[in-house]
Amino acid sequence: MLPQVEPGQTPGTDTLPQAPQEPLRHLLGLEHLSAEQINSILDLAAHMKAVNSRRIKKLPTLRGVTVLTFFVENSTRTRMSFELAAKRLSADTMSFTASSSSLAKGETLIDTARNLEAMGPDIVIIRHSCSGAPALLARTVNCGIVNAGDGSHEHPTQGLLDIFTLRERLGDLRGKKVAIIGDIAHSRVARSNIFGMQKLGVDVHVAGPATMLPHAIEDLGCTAWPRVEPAMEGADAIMMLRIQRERQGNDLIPSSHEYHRFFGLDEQRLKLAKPGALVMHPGPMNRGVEIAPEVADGEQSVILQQVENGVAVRMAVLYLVGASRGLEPQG
Amino acid sequence: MRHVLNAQDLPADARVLLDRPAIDAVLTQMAAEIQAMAWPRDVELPLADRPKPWLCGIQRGGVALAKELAEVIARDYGWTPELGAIDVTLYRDDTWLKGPRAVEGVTRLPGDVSGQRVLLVDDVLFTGRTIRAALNVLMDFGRPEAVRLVVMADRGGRELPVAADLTGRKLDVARHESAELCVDGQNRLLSVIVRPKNP
Amino acid sequence: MTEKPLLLRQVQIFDGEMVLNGAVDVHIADGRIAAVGHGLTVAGADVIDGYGKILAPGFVDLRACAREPGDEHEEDLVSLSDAANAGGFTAVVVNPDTTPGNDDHAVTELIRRRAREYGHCDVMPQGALSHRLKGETLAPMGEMSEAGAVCFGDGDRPMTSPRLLRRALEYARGFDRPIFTHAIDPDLAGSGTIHEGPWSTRLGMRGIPAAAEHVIVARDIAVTQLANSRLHFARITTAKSVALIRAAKAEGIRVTASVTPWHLTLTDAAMVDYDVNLKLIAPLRTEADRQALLAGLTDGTIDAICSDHMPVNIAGKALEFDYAAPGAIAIQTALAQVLACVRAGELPLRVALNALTAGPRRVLQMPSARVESGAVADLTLLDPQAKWTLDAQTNKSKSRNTVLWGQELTGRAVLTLFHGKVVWRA
Repeated sequence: MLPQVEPGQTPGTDTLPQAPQEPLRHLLGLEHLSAEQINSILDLAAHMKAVNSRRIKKLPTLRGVTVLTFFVENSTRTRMSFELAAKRLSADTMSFTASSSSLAKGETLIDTARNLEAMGPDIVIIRHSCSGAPALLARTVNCGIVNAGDGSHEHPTQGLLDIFTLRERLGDLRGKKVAIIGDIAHSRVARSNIFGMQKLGVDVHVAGPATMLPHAIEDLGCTAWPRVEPAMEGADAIMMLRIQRERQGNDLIPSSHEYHRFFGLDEQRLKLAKPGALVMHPGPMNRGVEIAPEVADGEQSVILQQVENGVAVRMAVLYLVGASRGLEPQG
Repeated sequence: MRHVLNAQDLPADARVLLDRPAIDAVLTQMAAEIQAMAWPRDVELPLADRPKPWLCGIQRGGVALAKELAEVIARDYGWTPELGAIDVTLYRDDTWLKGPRAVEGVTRLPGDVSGQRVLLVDDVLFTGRTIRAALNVLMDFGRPEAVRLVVMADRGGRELPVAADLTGRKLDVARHESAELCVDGQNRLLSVIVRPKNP
Repeated sequence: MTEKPLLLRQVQIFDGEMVLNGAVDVHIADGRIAAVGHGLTVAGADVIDGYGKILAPGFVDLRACAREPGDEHEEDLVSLSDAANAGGFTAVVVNPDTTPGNDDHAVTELIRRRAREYGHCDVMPQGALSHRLKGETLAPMGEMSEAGAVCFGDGDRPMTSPRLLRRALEYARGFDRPIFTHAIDPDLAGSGTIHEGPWSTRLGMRGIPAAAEHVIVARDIAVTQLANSRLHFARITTAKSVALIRAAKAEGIRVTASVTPWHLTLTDAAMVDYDVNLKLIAPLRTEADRQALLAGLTDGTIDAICSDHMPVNIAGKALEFDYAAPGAIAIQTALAQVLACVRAGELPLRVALNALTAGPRRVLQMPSARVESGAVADLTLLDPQAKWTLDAQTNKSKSRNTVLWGQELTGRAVLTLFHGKVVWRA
């Protein structure tokens, strides 16, 4: 078992370093957050995680705050994680899942958003298949916007919970090597992690078939490899991304079988990483494609901890965005 | 709570209300009162079976105070109270006015609070809002047998119907002033000062 | 002609090639320039002070969407004429991709008649190259030429068949019309929406590689040579395209090219806010590309600046970037945009004005416009220093899809004359 480090805490004391908490009007991505902001969110998440281990898992913090989950792309898990986080902070939650039915009726995203805004939510959590949709919403409606994943752009709360999990297990992340493997080009999880981890000093390596590596990815500061072995070698953690089954049969990879052989994580390849390296996956997994079942369920896997930490991280984000609303001029 | 390196190292506009010798006297007196404190179910229980109360300090000054109170109790009465810490940041009633703030410290109780006797410990009692929040924190962990409020100093100015069960000293502090507990690098109590509120 | 005579005092003349030294007076009467000289006096004339202003031939736009017929809620030939005039333009080539498309002389005639009835602007239809703009069989170019089509092309539709392009180039020779193409390989471009580069990666947008444009530029140069005809690349965006066209021109191949004000002033870095008004059919490229376009314009490789005016209704833009309709209105702001390059020292003024006046006329083999006695008075008086804002008061288009909305701009046409008639006055 790896040592557990309580984030932000000076050993031997019960008090924390006092950093002023900056308001967070929206959470659209990790690209524009500072290392201090990320750390303060994660420090707060550690407190939220403690709440989640109590018998009464509830805080009164967001009483009277209405949180709307606005999912234009389906993701039951992420929506549930956000709803649970909101409920544990005593917020009222509503959910609106649009698929693209409202678009089919000729209603624009802005029309839909203004209609939802009229119901008076304080925070809108948006999931959308188009990159930039949360930014559009943030410009349009007077609510705190939390990005729950937009197209191939960012999935900031996933990035935060991944970094939280790393920090919990590895402590100081400076100089740690993390390999992110898979369809980097189409992955919002990859982008949020590349942006966020590097701010905390992580040496980020991305790898996958070159068809899945986007143009100029190294401009984001990471190292890219068209094969997985150099990325995995000596890594402190390996994050496998989901290979979308619907992408098979198009021109990115020949077959899932071939993908597993050359790019999947099995016990043999895991040995390339540091002993005890963490195995991560944002879920849902394709066992036998990007990850071998024995690795997914192995003792190095922190995949379920990621899910658990997701609620705490989302509580921290909702608290910050919700409380920052109080600073907005009302009416 | 304010961290200062030594007792002399205070803000220029500060006036010392309690220095360390005065604090020692207050602690000794408070320990005696805690020892003599009556609890509702005392009549039902033989002396030996009466549970000892926890000392739960409110972050951050109350935690430092509870620790020293426990030491005095151990010295004078031969038993060591269990210590807890309560952080009220996420239970505050002014989140909407002041915006988000960093959590000051951890909330940590020595065990299951249900059926326990709890002494809520705070350094300076003022509006009563922190105490309201701290009670809610406690209740979210279970149903204590009874909760008593112990404060080192009461500066008046209550905004909620809250009263301490045990008050070390009553202080005369004007509304435009703030009373602060000063501690050193090891969180040992140094003094209680009063100074003009930050504008 | 019962128009009151006009006397423009103390204007500097741009003759199509350069801004002439010294201010002169210009007398306009009966639709023509009556006299150019010093100290002119004309009894009963409307006198306009032109001090500090430049008098140029009316601007010609090689590419704009009129949305008429079919989508008159976005624009029509009257509102387009007004917007063009306010932008300094007196002649505009309009795209064939209307509803119905302009693939038949009846539609060409309708456009010409509607514009003529209003009489503020010379609206010159681009006839469709192929039947229904499907890229399969040739449209009746002869009849459309007779009806007034000045060039042929399928608007924004990519030309997927080089064989059809060859036939169109060959056939158009008989009517002395150039073929206009939008150079993009749709297969290589895929479902991309912005330039493929560091910004598309950062923003998580699907990219259109630069190669998707210049593989077609290279192909179409070869086909133009094969057909021994004239081809115009309506909007190029990449440095490689500029180099290919420069080499082709040196070889004597009859290709021409135009560029939009957007590509001269902005790069893909502007996509950072996912502004749907910067979603363009020809995407914004890199700074290196922008510099190459400026250099290409300066050395004559690129012949003209076209506004690429594309009015889109709010319903088409109040959408996610992926779903929003592409295009931006620009005919009214093109001059101010180009003058920003001039002020930044990136483009000589004479090059900028040439690309709005003589350059596009050369592409269409129109007679060169002159500011001299006896010439038809299609003129633009421009004030390079005038500050103005495009807003609900000043906008002449029926649409408002531009990132410049509400911004203060510098430089505008203060007076536009079409056949001697004042069609715009600031």
